[in-house]
Amino acid sequence: MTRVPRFLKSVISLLGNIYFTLGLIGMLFFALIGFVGPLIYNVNPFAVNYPPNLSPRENLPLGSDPLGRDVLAQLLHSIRGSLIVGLLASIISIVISVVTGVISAVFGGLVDDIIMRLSDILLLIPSLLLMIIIASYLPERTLYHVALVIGIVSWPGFAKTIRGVVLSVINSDYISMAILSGVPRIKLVFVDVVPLVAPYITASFALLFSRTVLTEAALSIIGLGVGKECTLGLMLYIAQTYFAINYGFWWTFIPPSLAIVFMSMSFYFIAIGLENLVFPILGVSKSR
Amino acid sequence: MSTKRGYFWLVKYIVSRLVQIIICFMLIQVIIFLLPRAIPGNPIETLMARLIEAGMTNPEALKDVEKMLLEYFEFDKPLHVQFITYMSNLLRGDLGKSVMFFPKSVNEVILSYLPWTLALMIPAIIVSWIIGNALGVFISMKSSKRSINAMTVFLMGLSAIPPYILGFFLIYIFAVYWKLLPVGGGWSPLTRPSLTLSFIIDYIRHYTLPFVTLVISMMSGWAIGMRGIAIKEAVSYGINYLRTVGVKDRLIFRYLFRASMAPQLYSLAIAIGWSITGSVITEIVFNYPGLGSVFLTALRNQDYMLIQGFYTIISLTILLAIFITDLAITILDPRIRHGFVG
Repeated sequence: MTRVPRFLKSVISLLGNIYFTLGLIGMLFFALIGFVGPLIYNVNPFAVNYPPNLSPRENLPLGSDPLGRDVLAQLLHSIRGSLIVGLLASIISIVISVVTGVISAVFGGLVDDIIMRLSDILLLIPSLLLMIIIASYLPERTLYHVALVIGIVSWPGFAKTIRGVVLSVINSDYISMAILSGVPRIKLVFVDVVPLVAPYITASFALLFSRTVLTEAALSIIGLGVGKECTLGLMLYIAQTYFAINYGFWWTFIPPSLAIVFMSMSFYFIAIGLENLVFPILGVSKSR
Repeated sequence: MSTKRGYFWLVKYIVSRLVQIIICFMLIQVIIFLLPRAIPGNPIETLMARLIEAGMTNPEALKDVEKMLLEYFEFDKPLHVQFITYMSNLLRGDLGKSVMFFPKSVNEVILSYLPWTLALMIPAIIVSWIIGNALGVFISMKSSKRSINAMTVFLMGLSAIPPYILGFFLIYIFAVYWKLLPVGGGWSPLTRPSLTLSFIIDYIRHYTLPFVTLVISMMSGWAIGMRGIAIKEAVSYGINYLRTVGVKDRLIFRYLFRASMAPQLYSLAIAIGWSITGSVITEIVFNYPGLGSVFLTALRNQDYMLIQGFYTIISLTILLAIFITDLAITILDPRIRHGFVG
């Protein structure tokens, strides 16, 4: 068998998984809306062109928000903003957790103890509260600042599980054989261990993505999210502070809520799909 | 494991766990002492600004108040001095005085809001635990794989909805669209908490929406967890035997529930330990007068003492919950017990 058919086969089996397919469709849908949508519906999301809280009408498909801005333009740009925050935060977090998890598993001993106790303590201080404190340091809160705050808080659980997976690979017989035959440890890790763990890291990444999107919204609702740009959380925050919900202006908060839920859900489903296929027993979604 | 050696192993285990917990607690204390103080600005300035806003314009009086507060809180002293005073007070169970609610102590503030949070969270956790686990067992008993999958997809979708968004929807449907229940708050604006029937009815009306929100959002997690455990149990020989013999489904349900309950009980204890933090955002969305909203105002006003007090209570409850459950499991589970004795 050549390489390509086998690859195709695994792609087909991946697409046969209902979770993965649903998640992938959702992800592509939101990526399309977020990055192509603003180009088609070309309206400045910050322009105050309307009186506040107009209900949806002909040239204003989703009405205007409490500040008098076009909700549809806000929504399209916010989906992009939330995707960017989620992507950056997940990249930061996955890099930290892979590096710490692998170091901890490979070196063991004191290094392992220090990293693991540190992540224990971080897990014990509720992450939202930790983020609130870190977020209140920031001089200004752009997309990148918020992504950084979320990224440096959400790694510990994943570092722990990645350490576990790496340990289970390292302790297998063929790795011991390789060590005995004199392959340097670092080379071993990058050539043999990391590729084996890669699907697991991908699944963790998807799971992290689904969490960070929600975290951004939570942080924004408290009032400590992004300051000026558009994110879905900020739209909800504005709707809440101006009592749009109490007055029943559904167009200001239902579209962003649905976008957040379905965005997070599609990444969650991708994570579950990958996990079902690659690690039927381990279970990524159980890591905190 | 021998009765000859008495319970020495248990004492040894408890002591070693306690030492670990104390070290962990101290580290958390250092972190929560330093973090809020590193934010630029200080609580007394914020308080002064508020007093001026409130119409207190006499500069002499303002200076006096500021001097008095600074003398009392010693925020101008070096950090280690402040930390030692704080820790020595903490050992006596005194969390200091709040800057924001000045003459009141942190203990008083927390004690007056904690019951409202607990009254919301603990019933919500327990009810969601019962419903969720029953649902999990129910799903695992379905014979067709298709219906199991469909229900699991539904539950996973439900678990992706965060409580605050669920809260928005419920407020919109029940409080704004149908006007059945109030939009938020703990009780009607003009009433005060009291033990009269009218207040209790009023409180329950305000309580329903946040309660339902929390129950639904926690339920799916329990159901997914329980399904995973019970599905392994459901194909065991014992259950298959019961099925073949023709035992009623209700009995099988009960047996399955009991057989797969243990790990979920452990998680229940942990969840109750975390309960104070779990409701912060829900409280804010519903404007419910619990610890979460107080904590947020404390953060906005940089009330160091109250922030520290809040974290201290949280970390203590979580550490205690972990300690107690570990202990219970060590005593109850023979594998861990023997493993520790060696």
